[in-house]
Amino acid sequence: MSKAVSNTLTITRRELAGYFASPVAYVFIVIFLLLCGFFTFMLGNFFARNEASLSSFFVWHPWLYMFLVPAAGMRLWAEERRSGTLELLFTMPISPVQAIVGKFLAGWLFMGIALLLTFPMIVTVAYLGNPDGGVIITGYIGSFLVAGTYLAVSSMTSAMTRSQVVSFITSVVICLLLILAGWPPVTNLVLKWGAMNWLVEGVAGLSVIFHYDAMQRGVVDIRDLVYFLTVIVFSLFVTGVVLKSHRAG
Amino acid sequence: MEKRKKLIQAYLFSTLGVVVAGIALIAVNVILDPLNLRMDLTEEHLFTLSDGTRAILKGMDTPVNIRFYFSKDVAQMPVHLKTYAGRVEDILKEYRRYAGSNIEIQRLNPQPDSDAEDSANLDGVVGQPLGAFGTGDRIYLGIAISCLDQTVALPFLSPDRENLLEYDITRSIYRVMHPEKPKLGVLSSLPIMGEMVPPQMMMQMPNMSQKPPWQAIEELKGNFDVVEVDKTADSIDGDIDVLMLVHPKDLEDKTLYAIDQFVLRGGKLLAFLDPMSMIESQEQSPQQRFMPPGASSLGKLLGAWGIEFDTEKVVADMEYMTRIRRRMDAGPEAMPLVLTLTSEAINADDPATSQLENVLYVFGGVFKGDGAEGLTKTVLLHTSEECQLVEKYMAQRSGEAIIKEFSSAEREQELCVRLAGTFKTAFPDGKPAAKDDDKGEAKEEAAGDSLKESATPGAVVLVGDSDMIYDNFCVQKGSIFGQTIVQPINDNLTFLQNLVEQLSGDSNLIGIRSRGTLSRPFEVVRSMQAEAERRYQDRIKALEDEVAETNRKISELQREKKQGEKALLSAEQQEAIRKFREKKAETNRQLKDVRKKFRRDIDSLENRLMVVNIGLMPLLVALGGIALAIVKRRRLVRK
Repeated sequence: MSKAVSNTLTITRRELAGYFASPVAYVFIVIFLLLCGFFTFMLGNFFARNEASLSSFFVWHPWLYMFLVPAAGMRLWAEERRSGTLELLFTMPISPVQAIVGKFLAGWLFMGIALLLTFPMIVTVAYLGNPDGGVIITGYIGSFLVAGTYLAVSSMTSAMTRSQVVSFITSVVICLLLILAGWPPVTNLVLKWGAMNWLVEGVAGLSVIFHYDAMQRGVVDIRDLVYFLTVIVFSLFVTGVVLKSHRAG
Repeated sequence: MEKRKKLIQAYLFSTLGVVVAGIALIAVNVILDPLNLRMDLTEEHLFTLSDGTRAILKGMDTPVNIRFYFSKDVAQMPVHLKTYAGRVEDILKEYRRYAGSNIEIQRLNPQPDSDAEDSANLDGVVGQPLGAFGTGDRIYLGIAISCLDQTVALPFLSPDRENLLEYDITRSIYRVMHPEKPKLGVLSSLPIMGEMVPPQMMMQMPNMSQKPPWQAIEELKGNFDVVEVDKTADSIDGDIDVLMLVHPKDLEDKTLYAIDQFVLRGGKLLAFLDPMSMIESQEQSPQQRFMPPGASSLGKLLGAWGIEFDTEKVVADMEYMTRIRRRMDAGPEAMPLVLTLTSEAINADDPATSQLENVLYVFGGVFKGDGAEGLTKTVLLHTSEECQLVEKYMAQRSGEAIIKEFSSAEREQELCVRLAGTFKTAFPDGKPAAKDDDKGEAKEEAAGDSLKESATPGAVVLVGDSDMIYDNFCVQKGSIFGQTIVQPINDNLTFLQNLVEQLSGDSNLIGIRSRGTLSRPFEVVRSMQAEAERRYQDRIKALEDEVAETNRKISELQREKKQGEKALLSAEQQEAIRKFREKKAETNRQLKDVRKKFRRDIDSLENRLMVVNIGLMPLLVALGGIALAIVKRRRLVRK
């Protein structure tokens, strides 16, 4: 059991090192931080609101991630398939599960590092006033989970195709659907198709925003955690299925 | 052949597996939906039941039934109401968790012509029509709580009142369990209980409308049996538990005596005095307005209690002054006589005030004195050190005028005090004789019949402002689906309710109120603004004096023109006027400059913070990356 874990972690370490060896990672982080800051202060009216909280900062994350995370995740598997190193990877004494989870964790940790680098915001808001620390913590947890969810989806799309561009676009679309699932025009459409109410509620419950907003309030609810984890697990499972089918074919 | 079959099977299994996994994903989420396990990380535990509620729930001995009405099947239900309903259900589950079998929760969906709908109507839970003209489906989002034969309803739960949701529910539970409410007597010179206008007057003066009672009274009616006490009463009913005075102006001795005896027999008194009642000014006819608004005080009683209240002065505070945007074309105007008291000005140790964050104090006065012997004084609200007692007529002038002439008293002044303990009478000779008692018959009460000292320990709370509990200064009324929703804009009503409840002995409910009305402003910016005001007020005063002087000179010259015979001004006079106009423009420009400087420090702080946050980290990361690349290349070259 621990061999599996250590294998996974080895892969994670190797992938993570790989990220930082390339200039792309730095560019990615710089863009992420710049956009976060820009959206918070300019579009989010941070100062005008006169509120010592990070709500004008967190509100943008699902939308920023929608574009940035697929960009980071598109190379997870598509690159390996294109350059043929996929088979090489699977000849090593590691199981597909370890490889998938390992790569995913590397990507997730990378996003986590980028998120942590926004700490000047915390310092700023703590200096200016007296924010609610618990709300900030759950905000970061929620943001991290959203990033992980999108990353798992990107992992899935990237395994389906050799082209990174296709992976990117598909992933963005799916993430967008996840955001819009709870949006009234969408739920009304589902209703019009003659669906029952429980189905509509099920669809709305699939929305990332619904669960993300819940965490923004300062409460860690097991239902929200379950949502994020089940979507991640499902996406990684499908990744495995797709990779397996490619290997077999 | 065998191998191929195996492959196909494997592939099919996988696709099927994906579908199954997908269904499992949705199933898990749906199944776990009723589960209510969570961790509330907010600082004030906004989403967990507070101690007060838990205490009340633990003390339950009779089962209470809660009926939650929610039209969850209506398609056009607005999203925010749906999510709010989810939160309401969550909090009801918390109630059940703490009360165990003493609380039973029923979820009902009042669809048209259903039993649930009838039940809702019987309970007083009203459906709100969605359509513009009352057509369309009705949506229900309300609660009815009953215990035995008592039922209390929360007819419509508005998300705007979410921070008081726990209080509303717990109060309702308490009320059905204890249907007898304490009796609150209200005595006031103002139409606080509302006014019924007789039909003849309505015809003569059509602008006069029925005046409803102040919102403060409506809120108090929720917990108390509120009765009006006449201004000229000579005794207070024995069954009144708490007596509230609101701007008791010019009370006669006999009424003061009644209040005196009320306190001595153990009654609890809450008095809102006022050196300057804005509401009274509003009520007056235009002629009366030229006279300064009346003040209220308790005369002899305060003397006997060891407290003074100056009815000629109102208090200005530079730290807590309020900025109000009075006109759309101007910026916010500073009003130093209207105080927005925040936590540092509020007593954090007393249960009545510990959770208040924002109290508005409007043209109010201060109390002095330590309380007479035998009494303990507690200060519940106070000013900052940067305050000044100004004469009442100053209130007519602009806020800036007051700021210009501000000179700090450099000590905190007391705005609300509580006296508890053994009170001594203000009428040592007993009941004052009636004024029109000229029949000569000695209608004496034996001096020995009146109380000279507290029979049981009493409590008196004195507040130096009565306007603060008037509607405009504490709530905002809005309308959702045609039903009036009242939203507190500060903690004033909470303050009032806390005091009345504390005085009537119901401490558990106090711990629940006012959660989540916490505003977390940028303190640093606020103190910078205060600092800037202080620094620039001298300069502005000088400049404004100059402008006034210049204007005066211009009008003087122009008046000369009218008085002179010549139709035209002499060249000199024209030149003089031109020079003065120039000077005026120049001074105005300087004024604008100084006003801009006000914000300069704040703007520069904001800019610095923005640069740091947006630019610093990316810069560091970029530099780090470049540094790493350089190091690696050097390593490569070395190889």
